Amino acid sequence: MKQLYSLSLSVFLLTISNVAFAHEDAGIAGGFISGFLHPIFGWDHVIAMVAVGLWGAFLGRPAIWILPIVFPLVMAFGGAIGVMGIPIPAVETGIAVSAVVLGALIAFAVRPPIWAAAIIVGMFAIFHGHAHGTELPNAANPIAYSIGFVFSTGLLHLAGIAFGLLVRWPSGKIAVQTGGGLISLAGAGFLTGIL
Amino acid sequence: MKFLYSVFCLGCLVLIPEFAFAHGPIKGIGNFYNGILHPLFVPAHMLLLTALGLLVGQKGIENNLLALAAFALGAFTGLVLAWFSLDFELEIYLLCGAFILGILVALELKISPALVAALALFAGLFLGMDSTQETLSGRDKAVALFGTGVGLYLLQLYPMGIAEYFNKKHWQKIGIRVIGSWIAAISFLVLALAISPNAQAIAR
Repeated sequence: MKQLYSLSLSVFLLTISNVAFAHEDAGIAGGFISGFLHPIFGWDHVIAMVAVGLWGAFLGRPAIWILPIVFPLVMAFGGAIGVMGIPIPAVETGIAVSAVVLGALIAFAVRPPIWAAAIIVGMFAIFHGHAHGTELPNAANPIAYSIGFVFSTGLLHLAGIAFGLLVRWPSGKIAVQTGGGLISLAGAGFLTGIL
Repeated sequence: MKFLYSVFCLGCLVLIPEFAFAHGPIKGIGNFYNGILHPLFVPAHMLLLTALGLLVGQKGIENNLLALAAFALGAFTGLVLAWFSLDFELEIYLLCGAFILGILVALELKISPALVAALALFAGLFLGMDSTQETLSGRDKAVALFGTGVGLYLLQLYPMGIAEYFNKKHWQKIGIRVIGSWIAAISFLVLALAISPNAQAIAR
């Protein structure tokens, strides 16, 4: 009887625990965290964002700083399209393709002119922005949500740039190109539905 | 190193979840301190203040002392208007301002100190006007609005100081420009949301 009482008390305590805070959209902090986690919880977003930073570092100056400046601005344009409810066909496919293409460009050490790199990155930024933008109207605090996801996206770029700085050393260059290849493969996995 | 540590600590403080008490006065800290903290509770205010501070710091504080005076004048005028409890709907203007200033920081365009001062004047004016303390009246309201003026001025000094300090090496300048592009992107998105009939339908 005592055991049953303990068990029922434990179950009761479990049900009143603070699990409800997870993914809570309330207020500024909730909006910020929700926006911050949105790109991080989507692996396809993560690998593509890291690839942008990685490619920027791989291409060197001025790409290392132009791409992380161009990306959020064009992403905001894509986000605005999403917010307006204007559909873009195959958004998820576009996100997966961005990982495949950017990863392959790094793996094969492709060095296009900076304007071409900016156009490629900008084109994919529209798909990523659209995916975030469609979530925005549902956020409890849209500004905090936007701050969160732009901040998070920037940090993912920074992670890619930090990894990409290894290209100074010959073995580092191999590591970066291998990383690009893995990103491309992961993108292919998302594209085909294996991942 | 010590400075970087201070910046890190400041960043952590800004991200503390306690700032979820948006727009609600904090009990027990008095009207003056509540007034100082008011801009921290309004993300649109923080965006505009950060963008303005970064712009002035990027262009050099010494060359833009006029902007500091213009901001103070604009904020004072705006707070006086707020005293009369005129109900302004200014969030769109604040976001437009943050977008323009963010773009100027991101592109690092050469602009005259007079233009920077004009932008600071309007930024201060809109921020002051949007700081109405609806729940207060009389002396309490005056104290809170005075605190808000102090808060507005202090909070634009931090990004200004950071942008001026990190204006020496190439990567530092890039970092400031990247933050400018983030502010522009955030403002643009929320502006799109504000004018989108689709989003308004969801809100209803």
